[in-house]
Amino acid sequence: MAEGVVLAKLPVRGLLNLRLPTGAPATPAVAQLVGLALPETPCTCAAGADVAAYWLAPGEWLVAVNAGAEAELESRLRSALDGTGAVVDVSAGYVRYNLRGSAVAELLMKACPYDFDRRTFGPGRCVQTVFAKATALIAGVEDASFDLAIRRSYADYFERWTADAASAYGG
Amino acid sequence: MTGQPRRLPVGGRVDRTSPISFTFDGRTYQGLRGDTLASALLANGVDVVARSFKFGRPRGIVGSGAEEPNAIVRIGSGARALPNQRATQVELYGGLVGVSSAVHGLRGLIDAARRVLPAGFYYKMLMAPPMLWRFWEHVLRRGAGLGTVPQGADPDRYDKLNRHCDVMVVGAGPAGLAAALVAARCGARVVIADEQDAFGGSLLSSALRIGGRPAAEWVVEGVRELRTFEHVAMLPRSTVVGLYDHGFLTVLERCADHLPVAAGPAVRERLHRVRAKEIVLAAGAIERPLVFANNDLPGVMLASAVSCYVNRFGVAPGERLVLATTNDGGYRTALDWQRAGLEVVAVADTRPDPNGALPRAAREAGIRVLPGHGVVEAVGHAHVRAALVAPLNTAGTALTGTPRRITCDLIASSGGWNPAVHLSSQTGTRPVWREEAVGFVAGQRRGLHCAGAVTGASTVEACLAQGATAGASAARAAGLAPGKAELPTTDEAAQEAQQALFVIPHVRDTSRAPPQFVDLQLDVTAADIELAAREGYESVEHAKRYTALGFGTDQGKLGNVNGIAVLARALGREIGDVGTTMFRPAYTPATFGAIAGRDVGDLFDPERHTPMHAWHEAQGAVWEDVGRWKRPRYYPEPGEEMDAAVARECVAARTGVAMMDASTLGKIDVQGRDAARFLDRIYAGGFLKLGVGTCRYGVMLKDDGMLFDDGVTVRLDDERYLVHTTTGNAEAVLAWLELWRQTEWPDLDVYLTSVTDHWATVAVVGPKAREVLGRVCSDIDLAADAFPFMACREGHVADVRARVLRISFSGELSFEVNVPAGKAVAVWEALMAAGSADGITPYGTETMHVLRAEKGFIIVGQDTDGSMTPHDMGLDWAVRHGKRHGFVGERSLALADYQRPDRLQLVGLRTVEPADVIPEGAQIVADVDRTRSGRVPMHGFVTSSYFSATLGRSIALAMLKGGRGRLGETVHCPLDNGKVLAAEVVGPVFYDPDGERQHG
Repeated sequence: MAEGVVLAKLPVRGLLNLRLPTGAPATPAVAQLVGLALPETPCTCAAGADVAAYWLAPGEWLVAVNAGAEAELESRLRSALDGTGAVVDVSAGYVRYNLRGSAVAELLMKACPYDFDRRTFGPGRCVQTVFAKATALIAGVEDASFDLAIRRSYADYFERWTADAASAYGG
Repeated sequence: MTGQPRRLPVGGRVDRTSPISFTFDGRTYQGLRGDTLASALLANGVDVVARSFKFGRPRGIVGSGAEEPNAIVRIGSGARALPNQRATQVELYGGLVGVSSAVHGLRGLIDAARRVLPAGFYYKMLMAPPMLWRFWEHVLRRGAGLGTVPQGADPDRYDKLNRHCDVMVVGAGPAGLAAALVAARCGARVVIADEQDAFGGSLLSSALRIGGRPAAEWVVEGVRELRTFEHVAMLPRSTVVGLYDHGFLTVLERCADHLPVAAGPAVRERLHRVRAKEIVLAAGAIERPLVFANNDLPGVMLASAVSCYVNRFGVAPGERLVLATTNDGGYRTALDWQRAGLEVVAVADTRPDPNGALPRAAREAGIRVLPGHGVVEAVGHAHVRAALVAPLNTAGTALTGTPRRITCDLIASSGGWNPAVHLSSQTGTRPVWREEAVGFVAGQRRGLHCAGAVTGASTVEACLAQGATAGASAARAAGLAPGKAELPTTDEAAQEAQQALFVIPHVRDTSRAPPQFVDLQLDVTAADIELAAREGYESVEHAKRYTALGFGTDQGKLGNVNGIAVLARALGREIGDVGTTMFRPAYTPATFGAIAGRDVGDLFDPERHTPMHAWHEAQGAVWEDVGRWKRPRYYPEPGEEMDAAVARECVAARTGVAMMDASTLGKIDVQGRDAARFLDRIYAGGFLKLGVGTCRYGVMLKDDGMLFDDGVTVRLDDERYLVHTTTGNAEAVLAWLELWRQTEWPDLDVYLTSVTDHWATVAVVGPKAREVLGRVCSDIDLAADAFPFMACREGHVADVRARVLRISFSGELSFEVNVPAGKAVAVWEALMAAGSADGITPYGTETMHVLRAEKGFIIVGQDTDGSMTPHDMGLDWAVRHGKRHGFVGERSLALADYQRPDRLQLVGLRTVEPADVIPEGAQIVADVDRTRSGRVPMHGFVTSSYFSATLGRSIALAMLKGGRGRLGETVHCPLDNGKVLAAEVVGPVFYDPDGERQHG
């Protein structure tokens, strides 16, 4: 594992915010279009080939697909939803990062009031929370690192805040 | 031990091999590693460390921990200086520089001051004419010695850490350690914090044996076991300063304060924000001094502090000891003193017949015990030279004989123990008086498990047992299965009952006796409290505020209970009935640096950037903060001032082509079968019949009918809209919409998603806008009839899929080009290139303001302040009554007050002198002559005001009483420089009133 903290920008993906009526399970049609069953357990995510879905809130998911695939999926999903749900392209609204390194857990303790204890938060878990004074979607990754999606207008602040915090670890 | 005359030849947890030097009040001394500043000063025989707050009396070190009221010092120098530190808690390091906070005391006022500064002095001065208080404040601030604020920015680094645990253990004395061990063995995530540099609490200075071994060994063993658990975090040098609701605690860790600057780690202090499922409060207790005459003389100390200095630091704060006690525990100090080879002159025990194991041990050791005696007065000038000791009646309330003088240089007193209820009290849990413990103990509170001395327990064995029980019950409450705890035994003797006695009576009555200090830090005496009671301040809260009891930085850790006892005696009531005051965070003073952490400087608050930020910066844009956004205000050319730049930008927009980054506007995607119905209820205007591909301006009201936000909404599809909000209000509008959607109309199928960050917007503005856009956009017919005003088209701009809106906030022909933010820079640059032949000019918010003001377009939040209806703003055309479900705020619009003809209404103002620009915020009056009388009826105020380069004169928007009925009238704006600007009231639209240009 890298010493300190290493922050890397992740490649652009297509991101769709998907809404379904609260309490109603996703129809097979939606699951088939997305390419996987939407995670129903709060603060979990699921990944398939070229697609991932993050539970954001009751009835709300972020669906990540290969860049460029979002437009077609958006329009097909909208037809399938037929007014009882919503789908919005938010691909350009976020900048995605990966945070890794020996001090990454402590850096998250500095930045977030959320509990990222590795016994309970690992791969398959995600959460929308605050990172310093920005909002973030944070997901656990298999190699003990974390993927983050930060609102684009906050990306510069996020990078500067993280660089400052990481400097304490020589990272 | 040259230079350390009071250092004992052996003993203590100090490293005698390498003395270190430090300075205090400008003099250099030697101390040892392991010392506190206080123990090092005592070792050097420094007994006067402060002058008192009000009277300037000499004061010495009294305690050995957080309770210390006198030895308040500033550590370090320059911008690193840390004021308000207790010398008893400052770990010594080589090169430490300490300054007594009170060396500038008003020595001239010594004692004589007592007559001019009685209790209630502050209260009376604050009630007196203000000039008098200003005088006294000046004098008192200089004299009070409350420390000085460091000058300059703090160069040190502070940070914060969020922690979560099953069990938070506050205090690592016998109870806390036992609790942490039991909880950790159950598998609980434990955080344990203690303010001292090492765990062990009172055991660090105890001669006791636990489980057959010295107490210190038991501590080492326990700490070693705790270290084996991965899920246990141990925080020494960490004070739990705040305890809040829902198991939230703040813990201040001093990472580098015990080290010289150069040797310290990167972080000086760290604030741990702990969220605990359960809390074990094992904060211990603070010894209660006895109150007697002249008890503030240097050389009067807490008995436990004397033991601590002897046992832990190998320091004897005197030679000949008189011990004043009401309990068996105090005898330990006499025994410790004698064991160290020093002379115990006498023990004055207020109880008539002390026969417990400790008093017997003292007698057997040859110590003179005076049963039924109290120390009534300390004798000396700058230091104790003798104690006056007199026999007492059984209750301890009166003298039964003449005092005799016993020569000594140290008086140690023990009046029992005050449980450290501060943290539990911070949550609003009232401490409860417990007769048998003679103290206030923490009240019951869910999730708070009290253990040890904080419950009134007086033996280590009881502390260990309570700690184990609390650790187990906390773990169980946190959802873990506790195991079996084995309890070690101690060699501690049983104790007899203590006497509930707080003040030793004097020969003379309280008001005539030498002062009997209750609160040493704020110079509050027993006589002051009696005066407060006589003057009618009978509630403990009133008496506290009248006398300033417990108002110091120590929050009265030593004096409060004694003060309550004096008040109870004066009122003839029981202490439990009088009750106690409460404590608030922080337990001991916390630095602002730690509270701020790294959220300082340019990380203080997020700066939001648009995708074109770097481009603006490269162009030398001058920034304006709009909410959290950075927006270009104007783009000066070399040598250009703001006025000239704005004039140039305005002319370009009105006569050629100009362009603005409008990405910061809030954008909300509204989708679902009921999207139209939802917006029709939210907006004051009608939205049901808005055609697909067209835009409409709308105003949103709060439920009180006042204008809340405005913006353009586009119908993208039958069931899909894009709502624009003002830049600063985007989050508030989304929250407002969600509130209605979720709580009032959950039956509507509608979904709201913020797309502010997804879309970037470039406004291309001016008579040549169509031409320029046409050069980079081939798949949208831009012709006026094909793409009319207030229409929306989709196509490609600079080969990027774009949504183009023909809307205008400038009144000019305007196309707002929306593209995904990731491709915005390319589109922006392509448009700049496409317009370069026509001199396309980037413009900022200042030009935007001028352009829209020329058109009379309001800015919500600048021209409105939450007290304007649409009618006030001349926006009746944007309101539609009679909709099936009405709209939010409609009902309020019928209020009688909203119909008053003299309400403030939006108007325009034209100054009589065209070059005069009225300052924004200027008040409007009607009758200029009456300005001299000083009483002028206000008629309104100016909300927006600019010089319009296009019109060659100043323009202003204003809110004026009954304004629309006063067109043509001349009003006046008196300025603070004495000038009065005259202006004509006109309509708010100054330019192109028929809107021909934006429709072009």
